[in-house]
Amino acid sequence: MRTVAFVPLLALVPTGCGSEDERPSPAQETEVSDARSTSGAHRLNRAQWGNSLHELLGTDPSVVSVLPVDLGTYGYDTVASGLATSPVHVELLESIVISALDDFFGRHPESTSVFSYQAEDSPALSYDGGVATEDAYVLRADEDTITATTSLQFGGEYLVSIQAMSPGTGDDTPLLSIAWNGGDLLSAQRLSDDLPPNPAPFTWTVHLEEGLNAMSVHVISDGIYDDQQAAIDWIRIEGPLDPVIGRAETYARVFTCNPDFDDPDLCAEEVLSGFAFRAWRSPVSAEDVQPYVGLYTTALDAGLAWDEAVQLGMQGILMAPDFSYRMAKGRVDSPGHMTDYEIASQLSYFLWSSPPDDSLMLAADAGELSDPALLDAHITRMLEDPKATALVDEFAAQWLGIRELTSIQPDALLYANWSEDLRGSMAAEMSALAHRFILEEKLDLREIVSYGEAWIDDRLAAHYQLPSPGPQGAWVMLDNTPRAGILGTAGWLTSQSHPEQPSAVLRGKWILDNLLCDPVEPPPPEVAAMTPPDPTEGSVREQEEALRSDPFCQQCHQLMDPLGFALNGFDVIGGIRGLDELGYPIDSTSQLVSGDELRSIVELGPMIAHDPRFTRCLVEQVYTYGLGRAPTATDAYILDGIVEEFQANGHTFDALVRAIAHSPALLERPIAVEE
Amino acid sequence: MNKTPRSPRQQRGLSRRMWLSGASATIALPWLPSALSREARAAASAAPKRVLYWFVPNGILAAEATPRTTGADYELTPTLEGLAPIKHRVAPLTGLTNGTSGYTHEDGMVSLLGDAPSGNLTVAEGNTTIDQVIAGEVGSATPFPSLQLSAEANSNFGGVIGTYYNTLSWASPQTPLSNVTSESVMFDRMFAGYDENLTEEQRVVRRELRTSVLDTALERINKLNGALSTEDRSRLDQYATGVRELEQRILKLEEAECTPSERPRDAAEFPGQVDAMADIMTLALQCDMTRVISFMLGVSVSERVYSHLDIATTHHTLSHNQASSDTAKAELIAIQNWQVAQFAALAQKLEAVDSGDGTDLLSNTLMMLCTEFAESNGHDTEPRLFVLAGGEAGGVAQGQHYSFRTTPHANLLLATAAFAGVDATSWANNATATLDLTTFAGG
Repeated sequence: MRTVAFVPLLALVPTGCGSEDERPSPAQETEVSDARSTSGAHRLNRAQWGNSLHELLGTDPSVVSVLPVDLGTYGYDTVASGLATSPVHVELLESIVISALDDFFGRHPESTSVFSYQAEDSPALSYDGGVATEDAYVLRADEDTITATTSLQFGGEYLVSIQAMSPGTGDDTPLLSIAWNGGDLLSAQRLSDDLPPNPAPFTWTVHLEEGLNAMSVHVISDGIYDDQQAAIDWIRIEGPLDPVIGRAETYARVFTCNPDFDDPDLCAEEVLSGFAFRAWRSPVSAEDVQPYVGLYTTALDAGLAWDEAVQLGMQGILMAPDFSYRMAKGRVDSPGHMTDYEIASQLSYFLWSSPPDDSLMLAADAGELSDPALLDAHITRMLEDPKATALVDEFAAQWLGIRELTSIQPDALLYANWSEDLRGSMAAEMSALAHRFILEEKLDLREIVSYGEAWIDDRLAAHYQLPSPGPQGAWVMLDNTPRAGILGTAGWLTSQSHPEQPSAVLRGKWILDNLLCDPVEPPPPEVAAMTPPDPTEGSVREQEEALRSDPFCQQCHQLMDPLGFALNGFDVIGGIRGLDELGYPIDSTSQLVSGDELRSIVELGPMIAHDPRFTRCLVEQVYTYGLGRAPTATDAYILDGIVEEFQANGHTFDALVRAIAHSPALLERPIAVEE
Repeated sequence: MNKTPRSPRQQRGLSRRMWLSGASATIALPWLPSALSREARAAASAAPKRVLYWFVPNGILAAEATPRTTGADYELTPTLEGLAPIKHRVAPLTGLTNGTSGYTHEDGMVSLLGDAPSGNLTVAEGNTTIDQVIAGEVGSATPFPSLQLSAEANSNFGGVIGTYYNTLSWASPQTPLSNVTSESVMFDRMFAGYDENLTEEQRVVRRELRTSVLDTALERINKLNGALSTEDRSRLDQYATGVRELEQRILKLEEAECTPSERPRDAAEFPGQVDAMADIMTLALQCDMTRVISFMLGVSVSERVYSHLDIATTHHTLSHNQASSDTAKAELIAIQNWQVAQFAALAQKLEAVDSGDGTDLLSNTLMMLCTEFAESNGHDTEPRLFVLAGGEAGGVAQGQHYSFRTTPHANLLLATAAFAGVDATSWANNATATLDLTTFAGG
């Protein structure tokens, strides 16, 4: 939690330093909170919604960006109790669903674009040589080209048509060709001297990616005459021709039968049953599907075509709560245990932020996920899948403050080096570090605070005063630098600074909250205004320490501040500094409550790495994110078991995931506590 | 109690389609009075009453904002200067106090429209806010029971605390309402999906199919509910509420009479965004899309840098540093001056819209500027500044500075409900009476 630049000092009220922060630690949590009783209807968050639609329909996952941001609770936007649903969610979800289905069925007329160029309208077309007359571009063979650059909203197949002619007879005419984005010439076609419409336009079908695409038109001499030339009347680029292209796979998975050959009604029922099974991530009975078959029938009766009617049924399935909520009902014979399908969902949203794939669903169907060895095999496969990067983009981004970095605004006047590009480089470094620890290598997770390498690009190299790693960026050794691990990244340091000045309090508090899971209380009510530091009164640190010297303040500040002081040598944007804002030399040493001396970040990292609170906190963080609920006091024994497994297996992320997946936390279903 | 009469235009059955086909119509011709019969115009004095809550984050320094004298001849303070163009149509209200002394941003937030004492830091829990009490009564008359908009996407804070900071409206103690932060998204909510090429018959079919889909969602929820815990049921109930509101919207939007202006592009710069949001709110009110709006100029603890005012320090930092630095205080007041001017600018946009009966939209809308603190460094929630604008067609006596000593601000909240025709007395925690907006008697 960030507070103000010149933090109002706590005073007067003795509060003790308990743990009633917004992220309570399990040990201190006495009541059975909502945490364990809420997994029965667990709403998907934004990212999960987008990924789920993507898997089902090939939808671009970013369509969910119109939805309100999920603020999350207990530190993560996966936690059920923080995922309230406003009417605006439902409303926007409906429009997203309708649009995604229209897209899937290729019903978006606007998804086909036409770009036309004519000499009389577009004289500005990039024109290298030749002449643009009133009604044509005149190109000399082998000499002139024209280039049309278009910005395409969608990738796919595009049709290029060019109307052109050339004087000459028989084979004594030049050839016409095009090239895309500086690539090879496409098949050349012979021009003729007939006037349109007799020669039909010359056409090519090309596959283009979305974004800017440049097409050059070339005239190639051929035949016995010199000085051949051609007149281009117009150019037209149209597409994508088939919006479903690229989704052939998703399409085939939905349409498992063909109404032209099979009974249309039975086929509709089959399609809708299969779709409901995947959309709801759970077996469906004929009774479950009946209302959606009913929608299909209603639509047919209203005069809609078969595919439109099926689309309506699919819309119904996606608007059902079963799509937007993960429903854990437990086994029929043993409600206290998750079904295999529920395990599949739990695991895939944990590791992928995505719904279970076919392989997981098949395994669930075969009852394999209750078998620890087979479950392990799936975890191995899932962690190797590219979708596991969600653990970096979603989990690590929230845990390590990468997401916080995106909205931080350092004072641009004081920090001239600050730029949006630098922000991007910082985030990339943090993500690379997380990626290496979580996915690439089975490293001891505790070393993330003391790791001796960093992935930096040229911009960060300059910021860190290190040699250039090359334009692509690279891992570099941090020996002989004052940086190490996540706490030495400019991104993290920036995320835990005030806009005008770095803050030992923020940084120390973050370490307690997020690495040690041992938060202190927020400042008490009666706060004295703190004056901005006075240049004549000593260093910023001295002035802050004087203000917090009150024993009440010290209860908490003695826990936070020394950790933060170790990082005092880094400014607001994580640059190295020798002097503070007032020009006094930096003092990075401090004394811990234990009496131990802490001299700098070089000692801070290893100290945290060896703190048993850190080990347990790592478990808590991944548990909370992965299961979407914070562990409570009643979960303490489960946590103990996970911690033990984690320790016994090298403290790797891999081991942690397996320990959680095999624990009752994931395999058993919390029985709701009725009031 | 709140059966607001259908507007004359609705009785005439002017459909949205007719309006849309009038291609030249623009936002400047909201009610198209010429389309009304003389009788209809005479009856239009029953124009629906709207309420709009306009929130400024990080407090407004009440001591600095309070005019020295009361009554009609008061002199605007530097904070309130922006009200000058419509001074006769606004009323600063100072000295209102619930007598509950909050001391955090979350306390300031939940007590503001929720009349709740303080924020619970373990679980996000507000109190149903007054706008939602009103929407519960009058909301069924319009496509949107209420709208929540914000010109700032998100605070840096997540979690429980972030929920308080980002939320002005609570539908229930457990349901913070998310804000729409994009002008274009809000525009699409009101106007997208309307295909003027469809025949009336096709349109009816389409609407019925769409609502049939939503019916299946409600049936499914009913079916599932039996097997769920209380807590899970309340989750699905939030979803069901959304589905029901959407069904209402689909039906009402077909009847709504309005002329959409150009679809806005999301503004890149903050002042442009605030202006565009004001346009969208004006459009929503004049089209009778809703009668209840809550708007956040920024989220609580906003760290926005007001660079367009040549101020480099963040808003929240200034809100603290003002206590000890004159420079910081001057900058903060410059920001507050600008914020108040934006409130006035929206009032002027409503003033420019004719309700069709000689009254303007502003006189049928009660706007209330509000904030979470009276003094931001000490986080004093009371006595906060409120500024009312408009509402004269409902009897609001504008044009004066009213000063209070012991009146709870909850009385004012009840008065805004009463303006909309809603009796909310049983909802309030701290109210002693409903403030009479025709006299502002109380003291």
